[in-house]
Amino acid sequence: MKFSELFPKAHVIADLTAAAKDDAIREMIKHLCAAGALPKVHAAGVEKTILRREELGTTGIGKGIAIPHAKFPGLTGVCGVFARSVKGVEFNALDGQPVHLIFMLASSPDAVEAHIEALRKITTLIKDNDFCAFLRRAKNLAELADLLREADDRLRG
Amino acid sequence: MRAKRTVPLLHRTGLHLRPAKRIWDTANQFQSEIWIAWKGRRANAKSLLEMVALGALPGAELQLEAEGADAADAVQALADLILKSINLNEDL
Repeated sequence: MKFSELFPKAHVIADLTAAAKDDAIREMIKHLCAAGALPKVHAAGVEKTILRREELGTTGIGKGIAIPHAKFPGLTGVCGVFARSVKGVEFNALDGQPVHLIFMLASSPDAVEAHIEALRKITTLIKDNDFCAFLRRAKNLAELADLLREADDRLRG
Repeated sequence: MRAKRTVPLLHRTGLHLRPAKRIWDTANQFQSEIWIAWKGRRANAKSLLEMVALGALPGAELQLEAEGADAADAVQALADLILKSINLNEDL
């Protein structure tokens, strides 16, 4: 699955309203439901599973980035939603810093390979400090969506 | 000193963030430089991002390699962790 299919424009939030982790996750799930990418009936279950995962250890991996994720029965494949927070979200990150870029994944428990591949792509991209800086500085939703679309070229390069 | 060993990743959901964090925690207890390689990709075991970027799937033959004063102990500890301690059913 291409990165741009995982995080298409409709799955991008240019400036998250939430300032706390729980609220941020809730806002992102609501966005996915509104985009028609996540059945509303699963919203509460996915939220609970993601928060439970966070309790086991934060996915705020440092450098202002978090990768909250959950596997949840009833979902199909891997679904992504990306959010940027200009002011930052308190995410209990490993380095104690607020999080500005959040890549969330909601996957079917059967999608083992696709889930690992999505994580591989996200982590490969965020090792690139330039890419992260571009995402942080993008002016609007259109610029963010362009960067995420071009990410497939970066992964090939 | 240099040490090497290949171990299978038994974790049924692959090398995602949580098992990678456990490897990272163990690797950071050693002074040696430690790498994990799979399918031509090579990750510093003291970098969480690099390890997840390996994209190692269940059953992957992970090549552990360490260089430094405690290289043998480091490889042994990581092999033990990967073979014995990482819960196979840890799904999150």
